[in-house]
Parts: sequence; structure tokens; C-alpha cells
Amino acid sequence: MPVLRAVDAGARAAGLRPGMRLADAYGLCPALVSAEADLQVEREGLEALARWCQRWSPIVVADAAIEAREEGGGASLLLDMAGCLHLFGGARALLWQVQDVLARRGLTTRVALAADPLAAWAWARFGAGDRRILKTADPRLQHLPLAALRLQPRTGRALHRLGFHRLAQVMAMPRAALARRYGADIVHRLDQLEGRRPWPLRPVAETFALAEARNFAQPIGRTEDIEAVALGLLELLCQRLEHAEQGALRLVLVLTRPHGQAKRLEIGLGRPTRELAHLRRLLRLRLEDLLLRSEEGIERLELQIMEMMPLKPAQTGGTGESVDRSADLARLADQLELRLGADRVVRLEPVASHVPERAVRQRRLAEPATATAWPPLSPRPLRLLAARPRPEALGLRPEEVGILEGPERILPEWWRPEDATAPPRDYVVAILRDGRRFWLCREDASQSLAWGGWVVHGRFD
Amino acid sequence: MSTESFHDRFAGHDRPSGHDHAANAKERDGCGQAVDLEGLKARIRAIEGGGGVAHRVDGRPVARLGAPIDRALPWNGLPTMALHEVAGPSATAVTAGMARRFLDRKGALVWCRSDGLARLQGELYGPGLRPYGIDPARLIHIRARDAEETFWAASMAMRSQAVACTVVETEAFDLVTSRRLQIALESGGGAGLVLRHGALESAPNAALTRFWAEPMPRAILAADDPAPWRLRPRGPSFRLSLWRAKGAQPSFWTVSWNERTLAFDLASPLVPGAVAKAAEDGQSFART
Repeated sequence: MPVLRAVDAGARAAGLRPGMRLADAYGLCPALVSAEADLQVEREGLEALARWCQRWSPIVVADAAIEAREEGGGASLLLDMAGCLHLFGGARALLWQVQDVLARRGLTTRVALAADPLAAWAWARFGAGDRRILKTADPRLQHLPLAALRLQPRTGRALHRLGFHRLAQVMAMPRAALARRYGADIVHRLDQLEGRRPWPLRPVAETFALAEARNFAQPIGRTEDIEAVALGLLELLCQRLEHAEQGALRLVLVLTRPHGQAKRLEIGLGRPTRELAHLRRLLRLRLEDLLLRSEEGIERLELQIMEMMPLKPAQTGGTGESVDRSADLARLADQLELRLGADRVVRLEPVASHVPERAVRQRRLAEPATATAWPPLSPRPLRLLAARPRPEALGLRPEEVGILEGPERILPEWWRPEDATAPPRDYVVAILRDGRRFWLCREDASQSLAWGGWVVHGRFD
Repeated sequence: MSTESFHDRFAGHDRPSGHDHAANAKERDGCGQAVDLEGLKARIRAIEGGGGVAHRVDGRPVARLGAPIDRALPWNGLPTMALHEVAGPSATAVTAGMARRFLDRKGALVWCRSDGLARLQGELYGPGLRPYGIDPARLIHIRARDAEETFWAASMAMRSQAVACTVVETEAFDLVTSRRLQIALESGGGAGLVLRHGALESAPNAALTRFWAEPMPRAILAADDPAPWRLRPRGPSFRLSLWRAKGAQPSFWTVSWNERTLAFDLASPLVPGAVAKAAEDGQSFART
């Protein structure tokens, strides 16, 4: 049975509430315009808004935890403003700015600022009056309804039945008795409300370690301009990294379009670096595949360092170039991985297995090499043919083939489920009249030795 | 590398090229003694130092392939900062051997191939590199999607100081691409090996040397030794022809890869006349 998930101010005035059945709603208000809720789109929209709100604080939490149709339910955003208030002219100016800017985007909001996240959340939902800035364990919190505690619905209903309606009533109770009767949850919530216990929150976007940004009064659209600005930001960041003796491990370039949509370009590094020339090259490579629709343009460009690591000043040669060969290799790997993808720039690593296709594994370059030699085995081909074609497909005829070495029997690894029913295989090194050598495989060694049972699994030349 | 020597490289192989090569040629033609002396020195160096890349020509380190081949090359081995093309049925094995010779210097081996070629020709198989002494820790395998990406990755690798040798697997290799790779090599300092699949292709490119590698036919292997499996300790044998080289004569060798010294040896099971016959083949090859 469809119910209302959210209502706007007009519908609320007509007496509609979230949680009401759709049929009843039409009965109350025949002019109602309704649309089916798309939770996925809603969640994405909230996260996009959360990222956009990073203009005020790097730590933004998108909170859609409570069902919209419950009292005080619906989405909210929590911004950690610790240490950022002075940037916006103080708490009062910030609240005004947030409400004003969001209103221009067509959003109706209620805002509150408190020393503790749960208190801010509760006051934004249920608080009354114009004074929306609360201090730690503010006495005004006592007037809030019980729903401000975000209790389990069952606990909330039980308390309601017993006549608890306001927080003041609960706060007056001895904590130990509350915990015994209704579980530790309610005591935790009260502690969080008054700042005695942290409220663990997961920010919507990871926090960056360092960031530089530029806003444009007029959106810019030319790739050359974007590149020039991005490189400028990079230079500033590199100076800050140098100063902090840190090296970047992951960077994100955020391009914000005028209507708030953002595109994120990520650059991963195999090892920490703050070398301007190298990062510049990677950034250029990344921007190369950037395709912007020319009519749109970019109104804000932000370069964030998401992860960094301590990095001591590097030793350089007399001419200033790096003398560290492994650093050279890491630079090369970064460039290759950026364009090809990390799974296409690999090390081959031996694996202790006699089954040929399992004897080697591909490892990312960033992982250190563990083996320094290939294990001694019977002759193995230089190339493995994954398709295992019939010999005829490669022009091999039985009368031409001589056996140079073998047969070598390879048993399946019976402890693996996929090998449970696999037959043993026979391998021979075959030599043709012209001297070419192939690795022939009899896929089922329990069958007859007939030519028809052989396939080509590798080439030696 | 000056533009002049570049010009010489592309001006054609027929006329005697660049002054640096001319000097070498004179030394070789004028007094045969000097050639032998160089060869002896090379052998002594090989015995003493295991055949490193200590030797230099025009400031470029030179990798020794093995005494018999080096003696016929004006650089006394294969120079770095240059492209060397290997084609033919045994191209993979000979490329692996040559790559190993370049790894006596510090640095990585980067092996670039495309998905399409891996499907057609087979994927490089690590355990098969053991006889060639190429360790997994030094090998970087690049699995590019297509030829364009392969050449892009190869040029990045060639430009890097940390790479001793870059192998590019390809079917087509035109002049423009090869020049681009040549320039990359000159700023990097490593060597470039072009592993060409398919039939012999004589269209010009910027490679300094162009080899054709075939396996030793079974008949020749067996003529000397009725039990061919006894050949194994000596390693695989190849007929290697240098059919085009800037500043060198076309040459032909029958060599085997020595798994102990990790260098090319003259193949020992020779049928009388086989080398002479093969040398003729090599000559006619070069004229095509």
C-alpha cells in the first residue's frame, strides 16, 4: 500500500503528513501531485549535496538513517565545523549563509549549531525559536520530544506508553534504572546528546589531507585553461608537501560545474612523491582523456591530496636529477598505470604449482617482488597458448613431429574443488623438421595415445 | 645523438654511413690483425668478468652477445640506445637471450605486448624464462590493449633511466614509430628490442640491426648426434642472420644459447658445409 514519503510546505498546510496512505491523501487533497520515490536517486542526491557542502567543512556526513515517514525522519547533513567557524565570520553568519545558499538551490532547510552532533541534529529537527546555537549540554535540550534521542522504535513506543514525552522527563530518571529497564542504548544516546560520549559518524567523502582550490566568477571551459589552473594548484600543493616533509599517495582533481555537479579525476601513486615534474606529467595524462562539453565549463577547480606519507628530502645528483633508480622505476610505473590501468602493468610471480597455467601469477607493481628466480622445473615454453589449439591449426602434422623430451605427467591438484574431476595430463616437448619446438599436451592421460587427444599448449621459440 | 648521425641512419644502408661507423670499418678492413686482437680482448674480458657491459662505443654501453657474434659486429656487441629488430620463427627465444645480455647493466626489463598478439602468438610464460636467466624481480610485463598502447608504453619505458632493456612485440613497425622509439631510447639510455611476428618485412625502419632467427633444423641437429635429447645441456640452437645493419656487413651464425654462461655460443653440432651453405643463404637474404 503506497504511503507518502515526503511532503512539501503546501501539502503540509493541506494537512498531509509523511506516512499517510496515498489514497487518504488524495481524499484530503484531490489536487495532490505525487511521484514515486526513488531511494537510489535520493541517496545519490544527498551524497552529491554533502560533497557540495564541503565548501564549509571537509567533514560532511550524509545521514538518511531514519525512515522519512517517522516523526523527525528524513535526510540530514552533519557538518563538522570545528576550527572552521572563523572562516565564515562566526557561527551566526555561517548559519545564515548555509540557509541562504541552500534556499537559492531550492531547498528548504532547518539548521542548528551545537557542540555535539546529536544535539545539533535534534535541535535542527525539533528545536523552536530563533536561537539556533547551543552550548554543551544546553538546558534547552530538555524541552525536546523523545524522538530527538533517535531510539529504537520499540523503546520509543514503550517509553511513550509510560507517559514519557519530553527529554526532561527521561533526564530526571536515574541512569542506572533506565539502562536496566530499557537497555544501554538510551543511556548512550543521552550521553551523546550532552557530549559525554562521541557519536561515531562516517563522512560521505573521505577527507583530504591537503587541498587547494580556485573559484571562477565566469565558468572556464577550455582544456588548456583548466590544465593551467590545475598545474598551478599542483605547484602550491607541492610546496606545502615539501614544507610538511610529506609525499602524496593519492590525488583527486574535482571539477565542479555551475549547477553543482562534480567530476572527480583520481591519480594514484605507487609510492609517496612530491616531485613537481612527475606529478605534473601524471596530471597532464589524466586531463588528456577529459572530455568536457564546451557549453558548460567549470566554476570551481579543487586539487585534493587524499593520502600522504612522510617523505624525507630526496638525495639528488650534482645536476639536480634524482640518483635513486627505484624512484625512476616508480615514476614510470605511475605513468603506465595511469593510462593502462594497474592490472595491465604487472610483475610475473612464480607460484608453487605444477599445473602450468597456475605456476605464474600477476602481481601489481606496487607490491614488492618476492621471488628472485623461477623454480627449477622440466623444460617450460616461452609462450603459453591459452586457447590450446589442435596441432593441425598450427600446421603440425603427426608424421613431422619428433619427441625431444617427455612425457611429463602432471596430476591435477585434487584438493581444489575445480580440479576434483580433472584428469591427469601428459606433456612432451615436440620438435618439428624445421626445428621449431612446441609443448604438446594430452589433456586426458587416461585415454589412448592417439594423435587426436593432443593439443598445443606452448611454444619454445 | 646529433642530427647528422640521425640522418646517416635513415639515409640508407647501402652507402658507407656516418663518420663514427666509417672509422670502425677502416679498422676492420685495413688491418685484419686488429679485428682478431679485439676479439681476443673480448674473450679475455668475457673470461675475467663474465662478459659485462663495460665496453662502450661512442659513449654508449655495448652488450656482449657471445664472442662469435660480437666479433662480426663493428661495435663488438649490441649497443644500447639503439633499436634491434628480431624476426623469424625463433624470434622470442633469441629476443629473450639478447634481453638477458642487456640485463648485465642495472635496470629493469620491460616487456610490452598487446592482447591481440598474446591471443595469436601466446602469452609470455614466466617459468620458460628460467633458462634465459631473466628473474621475475626484474621483469615488468605490460599488457597493452592494442598496438598503439603497446608503442606508447614502450616509448615511456625507453625514456626511463630505470629500464635496461625494453622489448616490444609487434607485427607492423613503420619508420615513424621506429624513429619515435629511437628518440625515446636516446633520452633514456637503455636498449630496445623489437620482436616482430609474421613474415620477413624489409621495409625500412630506424633499427640499427635487423636479425632473422630460425631454429636449427632437426636434420642438422640429428646428423651429428643420433640421439637429439643429448643436445639439451647445450641449450637450444638457432640460425641467426644479421641481414641488415647500419655500418656492418650482413652476417650469419649458427648459435646455441648457453644456459650456464647466459650467452650465445657457436653451435657445435655442425654438418660440414652447413655453415658455408647457410652463409650463402644469409647473403642472398641481405640482397632482398
